[in-house]
Amino acid sequence: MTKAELRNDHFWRFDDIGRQLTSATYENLGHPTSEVRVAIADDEFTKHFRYVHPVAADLFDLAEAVQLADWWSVPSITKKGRPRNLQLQIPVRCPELFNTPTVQNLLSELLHFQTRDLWSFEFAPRHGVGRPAELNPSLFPDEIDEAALFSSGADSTAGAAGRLLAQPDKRLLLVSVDPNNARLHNAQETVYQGFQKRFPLTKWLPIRFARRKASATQPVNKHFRARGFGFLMSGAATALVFDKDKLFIYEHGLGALNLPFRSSEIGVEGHARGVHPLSLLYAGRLISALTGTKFHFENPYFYSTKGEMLKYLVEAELVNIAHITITCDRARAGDPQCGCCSSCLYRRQGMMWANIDDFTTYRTESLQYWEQSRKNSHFKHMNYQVVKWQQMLDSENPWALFSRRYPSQLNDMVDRVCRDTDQDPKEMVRDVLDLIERHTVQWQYAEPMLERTLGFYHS
Amino acid sequence: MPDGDFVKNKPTGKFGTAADGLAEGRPLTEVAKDVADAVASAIRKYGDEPINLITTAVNVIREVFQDEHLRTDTDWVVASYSLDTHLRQIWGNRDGLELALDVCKQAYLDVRDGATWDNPMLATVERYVWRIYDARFAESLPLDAIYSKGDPAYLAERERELRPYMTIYIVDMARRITESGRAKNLKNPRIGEKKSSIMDDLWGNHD
Repeated sequence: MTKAELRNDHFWRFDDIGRQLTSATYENLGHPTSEVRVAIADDEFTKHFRYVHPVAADLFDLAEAVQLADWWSVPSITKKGRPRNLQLQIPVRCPELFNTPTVQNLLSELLHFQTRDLWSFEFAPRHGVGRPAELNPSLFPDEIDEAALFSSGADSTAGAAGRLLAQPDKRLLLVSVDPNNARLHNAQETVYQGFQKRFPLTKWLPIRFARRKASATQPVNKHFRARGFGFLMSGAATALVFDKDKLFIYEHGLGALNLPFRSSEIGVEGHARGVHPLSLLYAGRLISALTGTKFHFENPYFYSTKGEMLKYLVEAELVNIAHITITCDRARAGDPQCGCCSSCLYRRQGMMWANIDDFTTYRTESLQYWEQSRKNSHFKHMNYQVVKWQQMLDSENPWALFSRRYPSQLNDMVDRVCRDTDQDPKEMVRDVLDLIERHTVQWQYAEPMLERTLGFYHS
Repeated sequence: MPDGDFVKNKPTGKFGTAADGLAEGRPLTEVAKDVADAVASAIRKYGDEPINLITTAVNVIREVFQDEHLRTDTDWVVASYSLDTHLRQIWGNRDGLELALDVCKQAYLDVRDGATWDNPMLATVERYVWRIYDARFAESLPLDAIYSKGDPAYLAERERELRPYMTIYIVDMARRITESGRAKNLKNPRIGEKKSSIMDDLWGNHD
């Protein structure tokens, strides 16, 4: 066994990423070199008469390269539990910007926070011409007021509705990143069409990342944590193309924090940090360093619960599209959503709190899947978390307990976000505790119904 | 953004065997020994890197204890950030490092709020060992009877009763790690056991 294999090194060398499939070489020493093919379909920008400038185009390439490397670099940890050393060589249009120590450091900081792997990059100059969207000049380009990520999930749909209820004449651009998944693309399109009937000024811009691997049986990384990175970078690139210095992410606070239910869920393998406030902070610093101007990622619903967000769908008379939104982490082509993963449970609880009749078909409703669903359900874990939180909230100094139970996810967040934005940490602590308390109340309201629906009644 | 959250339904490996013992009603002294052996094995697997991270944090804490002004003058936000930066340079067991990182940050919070310890290394390593116990055993116990040989409520109750028995093992392991500065070569704990030796009989040592 070679030393490199022991160190779990993964090397990725990309050719210029174009509109048509180009190759990338993957080398995990000790194994045969393999080739994969990638492409980025960003033609939608031309429909908006927008020119994808070099930094934005490079950000799309970076997003695609990192997502691909994370997904296909296995093993994700060694037998001794050590992380991967990922080394990526990516051709870009602005290597002088991407190769600066500041950018390299910010990149590795953000990716280490999200994946806990060790990442290093070499940005080589790109040789070929750019993608078609880079070659079209911006003549009479479409104007927007706000750009936001759109996954077709309940949060992003309800969040968009909430923003437009507050300001109906806002021209909102919903950005979707679609890893060449027809099912997801169709779902996004269906939800968007329903949404657009109610808010006609809204536009949708899907960006497709195409991937082909040489071997269909090649294993993939089960803990694919750089997904969030890809969304943030692609969203930021789109915002930059539309001359915006802010990208909005609509995610309820507890979902954004995604705190472990129990101590046994250690680190990022247990819970993703894709849109955690620290991810947004680090990503903002990275984009700011690249562009030389301040760039923000903003989640206006950070202090809202899922149930509170879903009420915007009721208010906007969009309840009819609530059940076609896709929330599930385990959704499979042709199958209903599972109904028992943490994302589905937040959704079901939120629907109950918002008084929405949930017409979504879940796999838990099928007798065929019932036993398996119960085994895979996160219900008991989420319930455990709420019981624990209630005890902590009832103590004399709740924040002392919360900050020590979640020092990296909660305490660092308050300290670092407040320092960066000049907020008063005491105010943020109060608001975070208030959010947790409201979630606890809302969970306790929905818990008996969820328990009965999921069949834990019999346990 | 919950995205494929991964939860533990029951303890695995040696911890799983100990959990079975807990569910079957075996005496707590025996279960505690099994759990302690499993914790020692996990500490060995996690290796020396988490201990090195703890040493880095403890060096900062020692400086504060030597000069009380530093308690208020230290920028604890920067100190915590430095730990994250340091972590990015370490290629060690991911779980072990994550647990050690949390323990170090907790220790910083306590020191900031006025805590003092005679031996900060021992105190922090002890927390690290407790954290492993919680993560791998106490908070891994089944929450649903589908995964368990016993009722989850009964298991939780027995785990609470087990804690006093664990304390002695955990303190002992923390002491030995602190003395050697290493975790990789940690031996399984042997508390309150004196192996009878044939030499004792030969020499009439029957106390």
